[in-house]
Amino acid sequence: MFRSRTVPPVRLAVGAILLGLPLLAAAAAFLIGGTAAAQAVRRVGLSLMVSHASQRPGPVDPAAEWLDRSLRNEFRYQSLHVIEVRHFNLGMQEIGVVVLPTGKHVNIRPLQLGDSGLLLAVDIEGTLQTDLRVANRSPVVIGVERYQDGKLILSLEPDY
Amino acid sequence: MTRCDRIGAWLDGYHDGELGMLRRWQVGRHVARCAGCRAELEGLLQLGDWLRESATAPEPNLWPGVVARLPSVASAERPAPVRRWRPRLTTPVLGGAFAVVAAGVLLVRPELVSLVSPVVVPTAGVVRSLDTHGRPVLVLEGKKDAPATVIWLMEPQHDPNPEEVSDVPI
Repeated sequence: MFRSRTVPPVRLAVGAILLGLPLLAAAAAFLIGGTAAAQAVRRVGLSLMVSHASQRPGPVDPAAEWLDRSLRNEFRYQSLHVIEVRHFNLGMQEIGVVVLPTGKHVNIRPLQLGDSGLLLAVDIEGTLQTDLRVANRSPVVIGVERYQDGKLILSLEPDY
Repeated sequence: MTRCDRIGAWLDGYHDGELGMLRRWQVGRHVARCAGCRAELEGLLQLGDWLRESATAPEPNLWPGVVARLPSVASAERPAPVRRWRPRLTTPVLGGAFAVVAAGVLLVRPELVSLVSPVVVPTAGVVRSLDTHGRPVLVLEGKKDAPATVIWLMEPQHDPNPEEVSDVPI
């Protein structure tokens, strides 16, 4: 009868899938493994600033002008000055420590770096425990506790 | 050259009416006397009659017979077709091809994967968990003009009205 050497479409499809899926799986495994390995060695920069907002009239520290823009419409204070600035370069699960003027320890630990930002654990001794997902160069400001005639403010900003 | 040879050369013209009056008279007179040339002229006349009859006779209709024989001729004599392999671009094949290309892209340029990830608003959902040990807290998500996310721990004795947040003492 009719002799044909055409490869049936079903066999073509099966062949394509058998060829493509293992390659895709291998690529995904490579990507996930590479991502995990990259996560393990990936380090992130973290800038921490401890500042003091006070009811006493005074200037706003130039280094804290961006902070003043974020707070001035929300809270009443007369002056703002920077006490300490620290820069960390931390790996995942690595802890950076800052000691507040009140003696409380602040532990900061990067947990995971993903497309939606850096997952950070912040632990202020006896005061606050929080997990934050912070986009790159997006600051987070924490009004911590009363100090002298004002309040201690901790601000942090990742750079990765 | 004999007289019959010379007249014989004119017979075709005589038959077709192409000769002049004098030559026509000469050929006619010779044919009337010469039996051989007369027989040759009669042969020409018969040939002309046959051609005319052939031209006007109805042609036999052979087409029905040809058509009737076509299938059997085609199946009996046509060689088996040899088809060249050409892949059909069906959906499964395209899917497989896409998988291969995607695998290649993942292997060569894994960073491109992030380009197709959903865009996350930087300040949306910054605070994932919060434990203030019972103290009241005010959380202000970042805005365009003030991108910082603010977590403000309130003093225990103060219970601010959210509508008067700008009057909140530090």
